[in-house]
Amino acid sequence: MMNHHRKCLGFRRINILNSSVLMCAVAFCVAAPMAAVPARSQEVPAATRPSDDDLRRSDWIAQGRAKFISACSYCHGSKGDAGKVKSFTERSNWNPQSIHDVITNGRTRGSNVMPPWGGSIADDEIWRIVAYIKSLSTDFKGPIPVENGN
Amino acid sequence: MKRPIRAVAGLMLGAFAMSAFATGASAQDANGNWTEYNGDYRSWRYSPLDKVNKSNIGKLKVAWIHQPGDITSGIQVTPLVIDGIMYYIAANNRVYAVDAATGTQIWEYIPELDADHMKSIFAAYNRGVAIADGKVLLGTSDGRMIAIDQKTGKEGWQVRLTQPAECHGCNFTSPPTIANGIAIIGKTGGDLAQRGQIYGVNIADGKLLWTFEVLKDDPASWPADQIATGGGGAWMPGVFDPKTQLYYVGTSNPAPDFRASQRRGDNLYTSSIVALDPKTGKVVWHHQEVPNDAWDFDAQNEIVSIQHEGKDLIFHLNKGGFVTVLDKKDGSVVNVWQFSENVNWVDKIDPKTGKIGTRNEPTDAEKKIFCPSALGARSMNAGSYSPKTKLWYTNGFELCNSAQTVETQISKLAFSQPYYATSEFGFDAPPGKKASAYLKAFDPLTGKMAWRVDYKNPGLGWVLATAGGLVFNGDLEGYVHAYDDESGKELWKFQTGSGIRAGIVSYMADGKQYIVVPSGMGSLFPGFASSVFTDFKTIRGGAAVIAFTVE
Ligand code: HEC
Repeated sequence: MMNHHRKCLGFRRINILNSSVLMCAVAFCVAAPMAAVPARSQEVPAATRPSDDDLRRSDWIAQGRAKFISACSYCHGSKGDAGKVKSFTERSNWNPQSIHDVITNGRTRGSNVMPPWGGSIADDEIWRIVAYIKSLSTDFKGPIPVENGN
Repeated sequence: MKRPIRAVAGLMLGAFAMSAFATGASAQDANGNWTEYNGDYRSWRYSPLDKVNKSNIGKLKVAWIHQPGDITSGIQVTPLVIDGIMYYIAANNRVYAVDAATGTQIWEYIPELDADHMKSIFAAYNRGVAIADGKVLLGTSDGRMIAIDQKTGKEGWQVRLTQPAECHGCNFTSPPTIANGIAIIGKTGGDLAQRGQIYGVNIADGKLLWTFEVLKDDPASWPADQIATGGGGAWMPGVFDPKTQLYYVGTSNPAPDFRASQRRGDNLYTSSIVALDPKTGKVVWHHQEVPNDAWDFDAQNEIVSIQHEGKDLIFHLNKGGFVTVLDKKDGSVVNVWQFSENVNWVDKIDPKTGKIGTRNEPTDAEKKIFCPSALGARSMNAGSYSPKTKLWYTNGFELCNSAQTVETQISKLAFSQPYYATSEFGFDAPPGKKASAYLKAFDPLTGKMAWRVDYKNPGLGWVLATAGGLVFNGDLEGYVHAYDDESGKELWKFQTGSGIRAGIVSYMADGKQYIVVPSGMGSLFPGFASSVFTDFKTIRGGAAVIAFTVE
């Protein structure tokens, strides 16, 4: 736990040094969600990125929802319909990687502060939250039923 | 100005010295300074200045603007003004000294904060500094207290008080309170899995003199396995009364916020007013407003002192929507009146004893709606009391939240995650009604309302009443309004460019009265409330300190 934490401290320092670069990358993703998203492989190894089908797993969506309610909903509303950003229920074509990266790294823009969760929510759990957020989009194709998944 | 703060032997002499010098020239003593967060120890936020008044308010114009340049989480400060110099704190704990007549910057101080501080959900914002002994004192976003030189802005001593890495980011968001050479400050964390504390620091050298454990180590109050993560804290400033020589502060709620069943007992000293001896940090008396709180009802709001029929009284608004009037000498209950229009967490509170009636608590079994919400009857933005009208002017709003609880493993909490223990949570309008907001004028002892002005959205700024017969209040849309203190009639308004979430104060500089309005929306509230008050979704942030005067 402690080790984990130190590692995450290191990440933060790097992020802050490179903040202008990072901010540009993130802003780009948001402004042009359809465009190719620059790979950020140095931070998130490609192997950990789940497939689109994984992100539709009903068990992932349920687990992601539970974490979202307890860790995120007071700032975002339980369906991501509140908060200081466009409602999660009005999104389409939202790149799961950029959702993952904002959750992991946080984002400060203008007066808005989104805290970073990397290092304190495990990466696979962050992907489950991404699955829940994706399930709120207007172009969600529906869950793929999985019982008692992990 | 030299302000002796050394303890003076002898109570009478001590009391005299304190009121004359050590707390500075109080906001109420007409020499035109604003020396303490809430004006002075009475927390009136009242200016005795009347050069700006009902007859010339139409001529109130901007004199100068100062911008800190960092708008992260907006600006929440109540500036201090001493002898023509304004001191204020902005985002990420930047501190500024500015000529109060011209807005010309004298110095700035930008602390190096631990990069990790942005992981705290209470990061970046701060509500003020305190000044004593030639030092400007601040509690930092990363858990330290720092003293900087009042003349030069150079860093003096610093002391680490919290370990944010071990308490989910518990830190400081408010100024310390000065009491006889001791700076007293409480940390954030009523909602965190940690143990709340208040610290007494020696202003001369930054040494920690004492720590008050907000969670009382007593099996009658706390199950043994809950106290280490029972929340508490005191994230708003208290007051030091030079007459009683006591420090009074309102404490935070216990954690987990909504699952009271796992911590049966009264959970002292959470959701309480406590009077501490500032020399030792020992409790002299306490009054707990919400025993075994289950709704996130902190007691953080201003503690207002007034005299009535020869008695020294305190009145205090709890987040739960009731105002409690206490006898200041021992904390005994004089009256309790209902402030919020929608209350369902309790059927009644006995006005004679303050005893809570039948409770309606969140449960694991079902999602229920509770009023007022965890955001409270009002946010922490204090009202203002005018001795001229004997009215208390305060913002408020009608909002509820739904909640269902679930057993929550501490080890599974993320760093920035509050210890709410909820499986369902959301903000809602009061059942069958629309959410609403207002500025109201009350008799603070009885709750009799003199007037109200309806607002589209909750007013999040701190109110200022003046001897000029004016009540200043800021709104979400960016307007600062001046109302007639007797009727509530609007006499003046000005668009500041961003919403107001800070303290309006008044002072004299170069023979003129100034009204200063820090403007710039931010803080956590807009995100929280935006599901019901949807205007919060689209507000712009900002940070500007705007001074007004009549030419
Ligand atoms: C303290 C309040 C707060 C908490 C808690 C919080 N967020 Fe955020 N979040 C924000 C703010 C403010 C923004 C907007 C930041 C900006 O303007 O760039 C944001 C942005 C986001 C975005 C990007 C949205 C977009 O349009 O690009 C995502 C995704 C997100 N948050 C997910 C989460 C998740 C998941 C959690 C819980 C693990 C969480 N947030 C917790 C405040 C919060």
